[in-house]
Amino acid sequence: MSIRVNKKKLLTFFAEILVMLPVSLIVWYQLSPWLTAFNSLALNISLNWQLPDVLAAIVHHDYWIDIETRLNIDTANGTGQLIIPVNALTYGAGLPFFAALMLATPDFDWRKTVILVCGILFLLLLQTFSIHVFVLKALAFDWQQQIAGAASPINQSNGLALLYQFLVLIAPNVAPLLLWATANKSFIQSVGGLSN
Amino acid sequence: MTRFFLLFIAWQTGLLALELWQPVYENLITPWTSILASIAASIMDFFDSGILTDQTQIIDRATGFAIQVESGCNGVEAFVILAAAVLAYPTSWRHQLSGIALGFLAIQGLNIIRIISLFYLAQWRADWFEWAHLYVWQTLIMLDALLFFLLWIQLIPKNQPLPAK
Repeated sequence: MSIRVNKKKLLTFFAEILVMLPVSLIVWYQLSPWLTAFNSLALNISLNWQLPDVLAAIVHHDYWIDIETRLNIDTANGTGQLIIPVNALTYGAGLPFFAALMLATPDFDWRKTVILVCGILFLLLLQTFSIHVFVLKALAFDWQQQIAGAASPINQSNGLALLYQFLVLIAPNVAPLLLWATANKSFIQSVGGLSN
Repeated sequence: MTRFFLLFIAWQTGLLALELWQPVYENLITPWTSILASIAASIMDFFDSGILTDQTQIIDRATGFAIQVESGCNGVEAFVILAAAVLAYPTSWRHQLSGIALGFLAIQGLNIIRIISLFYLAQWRADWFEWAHLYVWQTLIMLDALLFFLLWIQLIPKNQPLPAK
């Protein structure tokens, strides 16, 4: 009997995910200019804190963030200002995934609403941190040769390369799942028949 | 349940560190990415002749259009997360092995569909390609891992003796 109940719960979850995921993706995309504004604001603080002499301005338009630096680079047409464009959504796709998982899980109540809001905030901060590390990686590895006059403000290191790989390949995928699993232990327990 | 979570995080950290370790990356992950590109190209070549591969590149001989299968597109991260969850789950090692093997097939099977669909989508609608590549398929592969895990814990027999660890 309990297995039958579990199967029903699981099938309902599967079906609701199929509905919630496209909805979440569309809502997330529509809200992306505001979410990117948040990333922009947070990046202004974090990059100004770490690289006060390098950062000139942060400009966002739609879901793109332009990191305008005070550095000059050598180009074919002479010297120009280094601007690093970032597609902020690349680092934030875990957000609609997490929202869809939370909304599709049975027994969605006020406690889970709070977790959903806190989770979204956490994922936005993680997204900002990923973009921050992307900028450091770009300065250290992608633009180091072209930066004119002075050395790159960031040194190349294995630690930075590993951190970048972790934040780009792994964290955006793992974080939503971990947050969801932590918030829905009882659901996983009921599906798998695990005890506390 | 707490034990499961702690083991899950420990396995995940260990496996992801192993994946990023240079010898493993060069001798296992990169060759696997090439194999994946070859499998996808072979399937496409079956119904659309003139598709070739060059290491991790898939090329349309007629148009010269090519895509590159890179790290992050090879399904390894999703598989590592699934394998960590299976290994952390309290069941016999036989069931864990079956979970890992079937999970690998489930993730890589869907991943091949992803590569094929993106190859054609990029030629048909380049503006949709970015959406599908960066947001939709990435999420679907992770969802595949989660749904497979939930199905697997539902289907394996209950009350299995815990492996001695």
